[in-house]
Amino acid sequence: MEHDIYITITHFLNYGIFFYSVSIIFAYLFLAVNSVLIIRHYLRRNKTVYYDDILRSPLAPRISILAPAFNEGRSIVENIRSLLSLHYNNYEIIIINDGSKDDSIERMVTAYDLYPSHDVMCSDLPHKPIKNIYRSHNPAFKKLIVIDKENGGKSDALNAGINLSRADLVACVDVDCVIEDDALLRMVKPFLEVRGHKMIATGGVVRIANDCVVQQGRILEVKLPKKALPLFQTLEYIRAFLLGRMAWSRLNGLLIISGAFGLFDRKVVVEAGGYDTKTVGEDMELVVRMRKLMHKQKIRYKVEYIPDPLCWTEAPESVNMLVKQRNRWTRGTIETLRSHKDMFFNPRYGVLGMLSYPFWFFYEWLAPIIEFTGLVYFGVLAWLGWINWPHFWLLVALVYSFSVMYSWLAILMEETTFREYDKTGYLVKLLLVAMVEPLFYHPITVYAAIQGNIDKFIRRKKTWGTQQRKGFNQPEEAATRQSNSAGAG
Amino acid sequence: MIEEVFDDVLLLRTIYVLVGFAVLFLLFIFYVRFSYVRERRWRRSVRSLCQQLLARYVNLHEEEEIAAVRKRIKKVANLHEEEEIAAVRKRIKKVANSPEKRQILLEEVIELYNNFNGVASDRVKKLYKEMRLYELSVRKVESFIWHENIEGIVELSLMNYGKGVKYIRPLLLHSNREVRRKAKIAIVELNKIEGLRELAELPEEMSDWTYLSILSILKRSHSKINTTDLQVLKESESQSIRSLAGHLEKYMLVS
Repeated sequence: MEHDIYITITHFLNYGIFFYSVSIIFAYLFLAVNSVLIIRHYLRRNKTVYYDDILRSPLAPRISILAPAFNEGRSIVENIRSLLSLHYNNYEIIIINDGSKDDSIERMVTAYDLYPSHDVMCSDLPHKPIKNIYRSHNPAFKKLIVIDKENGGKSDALNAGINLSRADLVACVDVDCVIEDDALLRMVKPFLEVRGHKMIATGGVVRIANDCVVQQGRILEVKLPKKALPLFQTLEYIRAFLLGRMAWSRLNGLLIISGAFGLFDRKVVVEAGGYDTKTVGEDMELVVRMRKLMHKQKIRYKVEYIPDPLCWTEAPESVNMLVKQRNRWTRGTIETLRSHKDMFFNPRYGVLGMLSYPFWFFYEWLAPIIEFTGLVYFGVLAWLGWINWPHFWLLVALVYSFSVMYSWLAILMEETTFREYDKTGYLVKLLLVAMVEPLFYHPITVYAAIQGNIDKFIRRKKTWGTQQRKGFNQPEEAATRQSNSAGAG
Repeated sequence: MIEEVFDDVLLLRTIYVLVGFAVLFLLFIFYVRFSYVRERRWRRSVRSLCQQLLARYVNLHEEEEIAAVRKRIKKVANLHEEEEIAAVRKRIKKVANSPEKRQILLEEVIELYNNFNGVASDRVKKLYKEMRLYELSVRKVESFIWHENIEGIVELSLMNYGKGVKYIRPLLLHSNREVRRKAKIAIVELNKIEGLRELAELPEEMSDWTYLSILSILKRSHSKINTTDLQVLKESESQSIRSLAGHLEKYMLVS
């Protein structure tokens, strides 16, 4: 009897882990094929697009750029200046000072000649009380509005911005990101081109800006990070955006638009209830809720991703910070999946319910847990001396080579498309990074994800955690800033 | 079960296959990179040559007027410049005759045409016709490949090549939506109100992008529409054309 149970358990674990690995490999291959197809199509379609007519048109949809800021005093003036020079005719910038404890508001008031205005909110999404709304005396900064409010976190700040916005579309950005000049034009294009569907959100590819030459809020020279962790993340971002999100975009199954830069239909955001202030994965949660709303209203809709690198962000450089970030992402994923569990294999939600949600459930949330379980199981078997070593090495060789070649495929995609890292040395470096990433970087992300699960289910943690950023091309000591647990990161 | 299938030989062979495949994959990535670098270098040199020649060509023509005045005074001065123009034209023709370089020359001509105005852009347009660069775009428009169609349409419309309309017109009914979209914009770009009348006959609705692009073109070209044409637009089957007519009537362009 005991022997039978033992056989059943070992068979379950052996075959379970084996078939799970095979299924994940096929799932990623499926995504890769879709990505290649959509990126090729996108590049052909957009090879000869001239944005001038839309750029000049006063009839182009109005966009509000919403940028929450918490203790960004050192760089806020410069960041706003770069947002003010984006190439688009019809837009406004709403900076939401989320109860900063530094001199952010004073700096903005002085630099942009701001005065308290009497703007009225257009919708009533919940958020913490507003102290003041500022506009500029200077006509050169007429696009700028600053909301000064009590601290409530990133989602809370974005809700306040959405309420104030009168635009058709809202672009939610991280104020410390570097946005490409023509990013708004590229992001708005799908909204204008779509027919027969309603475009509810678009996202742009985010890249890592550590060690890039940044001047006045513009990327002057793209460089690979010198430190190992941001370097690994550079590869990870290329892979995730070029091979992952683009595929989901093709399948119309995107569950997330990056919090660093996304463009949303304001009306749908308000109807969906705005950002959820109780989750740490607000970007994903909002997209899922907007999509559910469209399904409920039986409206044909789309969520799209643009493969052009439009937004550059700073990646964590220390293991501690990276683990905190990934821990938060894991908790955000869990919270979103749990609060929308009715979609799981629910045909009513189409691709969203039958493909996207199960993918995220099995391969995003459960993957690190299964991987960790597999490692523990392997440890036990090794200790008992029950490992079939040829079988083991075969599996390792397959999984490792798949992982490396998948990253190489992402690099090849980058090579044949945007070629941001144009020095041959960078290419060699990225290819090498792909070879060591599964051995050194991947375990850190698995560890962070496990910790995220523990924090979520055992410690019941609900905060953002501390975030530290160095700032672009600034001395480390001078530019280090911290955001508190509830602050906008 | 599974354990029986695998033995050391199979493991070894699998690893050989994987390593072999990885090496081939790596070589392919490097091949892509080096062919790109080589092509970029070549394109850069051809582009630079085209830019030099075109700049010289345009400037010489600007100087031509001064030279003509000088000619009247001295009666001899223009001889050298005319010779030089002929020489430059000959060199440009040499570039244009090379199929690989022809496309780059066309791209440079388009850029120059759109960045200049007045005499300089007229001269570039003349060169475009003289060198029969439009044939390159027409060939693309007539291609069976949709993205080549798009390239050809855009090139013809950017060069404002009026005769291109007859090649673009059939693409208004192309099976690819993107081609149809570009064709609509190009027809209006090249034929203005007359082009708009052609669109009025199509029942298909326009995207907002096409709608805004057409409005911008009409505004930029200061086109005026007469009441007869406006009536044609108002009676169109297409809702977006009717809406466009309403906009034109309300804000602009009715003569």
